[in-house]
Amino acid sequence: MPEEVRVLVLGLGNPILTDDGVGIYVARKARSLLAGRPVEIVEASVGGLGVLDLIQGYDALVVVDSMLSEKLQPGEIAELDLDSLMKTQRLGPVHGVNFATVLALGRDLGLPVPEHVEIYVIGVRDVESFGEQCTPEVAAAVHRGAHLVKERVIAYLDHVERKKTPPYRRHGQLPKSEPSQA
Amino acid sequence: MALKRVTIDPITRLEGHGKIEIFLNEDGNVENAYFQVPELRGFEKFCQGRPAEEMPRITPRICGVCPEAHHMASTKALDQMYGVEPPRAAQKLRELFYCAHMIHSHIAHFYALAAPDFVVGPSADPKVRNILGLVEKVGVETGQEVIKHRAYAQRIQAMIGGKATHPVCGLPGGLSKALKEEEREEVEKMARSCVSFARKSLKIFNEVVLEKKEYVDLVRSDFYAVSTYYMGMVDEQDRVNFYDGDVKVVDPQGKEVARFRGLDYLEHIGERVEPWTYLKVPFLKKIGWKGFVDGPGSGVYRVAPLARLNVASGMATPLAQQEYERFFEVLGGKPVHATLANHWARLVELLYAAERVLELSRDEEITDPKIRNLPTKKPVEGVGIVEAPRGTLFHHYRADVDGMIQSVNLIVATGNNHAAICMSIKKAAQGLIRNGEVDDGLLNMIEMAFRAYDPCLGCATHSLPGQMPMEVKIYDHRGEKLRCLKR
Repeated sequence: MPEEVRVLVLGLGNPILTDDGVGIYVARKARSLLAGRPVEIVEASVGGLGVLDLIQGYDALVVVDSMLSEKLQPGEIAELDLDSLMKTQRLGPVHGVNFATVLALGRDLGLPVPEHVEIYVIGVRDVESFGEQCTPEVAAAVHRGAHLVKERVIAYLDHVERKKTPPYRRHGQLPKSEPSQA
Repeated sequence: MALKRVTIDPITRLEGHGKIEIFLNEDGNVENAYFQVPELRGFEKFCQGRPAEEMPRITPRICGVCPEAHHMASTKALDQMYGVEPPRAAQKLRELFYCAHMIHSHIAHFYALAAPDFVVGPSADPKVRNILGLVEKVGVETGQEVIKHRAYAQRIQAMIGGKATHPVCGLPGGLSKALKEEEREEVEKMARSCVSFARKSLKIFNEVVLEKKEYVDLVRSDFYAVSTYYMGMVDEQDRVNFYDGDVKVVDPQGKEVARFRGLDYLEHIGERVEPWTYLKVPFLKKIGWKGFVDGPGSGVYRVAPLARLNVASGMATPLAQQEYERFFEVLGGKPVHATLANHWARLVELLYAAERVLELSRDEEITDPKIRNLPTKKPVEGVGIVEAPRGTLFHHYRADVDGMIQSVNLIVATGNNHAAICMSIKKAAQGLIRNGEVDDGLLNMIEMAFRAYDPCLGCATHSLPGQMPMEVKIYDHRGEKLRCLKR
């Protein structure tokens, strides 16, 4: 394993807003599953430029966050298409800047942002009530999410190991496994 | 089973958005405008029965944008609940920490949200009217300086706060950790750099906005002005202070009408419930609620940088004082009612915050290890007030006989500005929309009226795509939707 390989698993959310904390719970669980590997697990409740402070200096980034959308059922896990998020990066947000803009800004400014990025989202039901527990369907996704994160991180590390070269430099080159949802 | 892949596009429906609704009359001109934010439910219930001392660790979680402001207001509320005064070194260190938070927040607002409207143009395509377009115009080097100084402010907050976000330093009667000499040296160095950067930011504002007549006219135009009362915190010499002092209120002519501290806020601020919004609408009790109208007869008041400059007699640091004087000279004397002047006021405050951090980092007492007076009484009731980046923030708690939280009332900055934001949107829309004709450029110019307040909808949720979506809906006189734009 090349020593310089550094992977960040970033769990985003607010642990006192019911389902909003799911990304954090997944990251927390993934911590024990990935023990002993060159991975850092960070929990954060920030967005916008605050994310830029967290992601610098890593080769690869796996983000886990909640998503409230008609496209996802509560508890359903999906990979977020980064390219499509990039297409919306220039729309003016109300407060702060979105994740794609943060990545693009980091690259434009020559900052050491990760070359490889994967974003996983978990469908949520309630992100408006204060509470320290997820709703049942969302809570049930934590275990699956953590195992998915583990598989993706190991796939990345194996890929780097196989290549025996510096981490690949373009997004999307990682061969896609088909992570189980079991 | 293959994993589902979701795409995000501008029309993907996302819940939990903020809403601006504009209603036109039969002639296609603006009749009314409303600004709505999503509801957060059950905070008081969530806090009830928890030990009072947990509040400074819970309340920063309300918001991903200004956790430090909630932490500090909460810590000050605990000082009062426990009846304990922090030692001087702790007060100075809290203020230093808090000014670093202002630096962090004001840099982000100016460069990511305000400046693109002026540097790239108010009606420019949103594809370029953003921080990336800004960097293209002002250069990568300035962009790097923005990130560097935000990181400096973050480093100072982490040093004192114990964590980069969601600080844990504030305790009733003081702080959990003193500042070491080597840390102090580092703070001083970073603060010096922040002062230079704040001056550079004001220079950019001068070149980009003040030297262009059309922008000065835009800032001063009638449709971006509302004539309201103003509220902000001042020190003993009536100068702007973010961390502590009296809350002062001036009328639309700039005359002082109220000055209060702590629990007395209840005598001065009323909170109105409107049927169309979850966010309460505060107003000045002694003037009374007369609806969403401006002028001396209406209890609507404003907070945030412009309000703070309007209420104070000056700034407590020399360079910021010079800028303060120039601000009122250029904009025609006090008080200034031009909503867009908030951007300039924010930069004056950025300079003040940087100078104040530098000043405090050189203070002999700042490394004093005596940073806590231990509370000996049971917590009863307390109010903590600070100036959050977006305006005055009130935390009010009451405990039961066992010291457990019984009731909580928070008035957040964007709440204080709620009525004025609605009025500003309506006035801008009335000035800009004619005969039902509206395009994206015009809509952005309407949004500029509310963006100047730096309204924080971040209190709601952090769910992807990492921003609070915003909808602008326009209805005709029959209530039929004419257009809907999503940001």
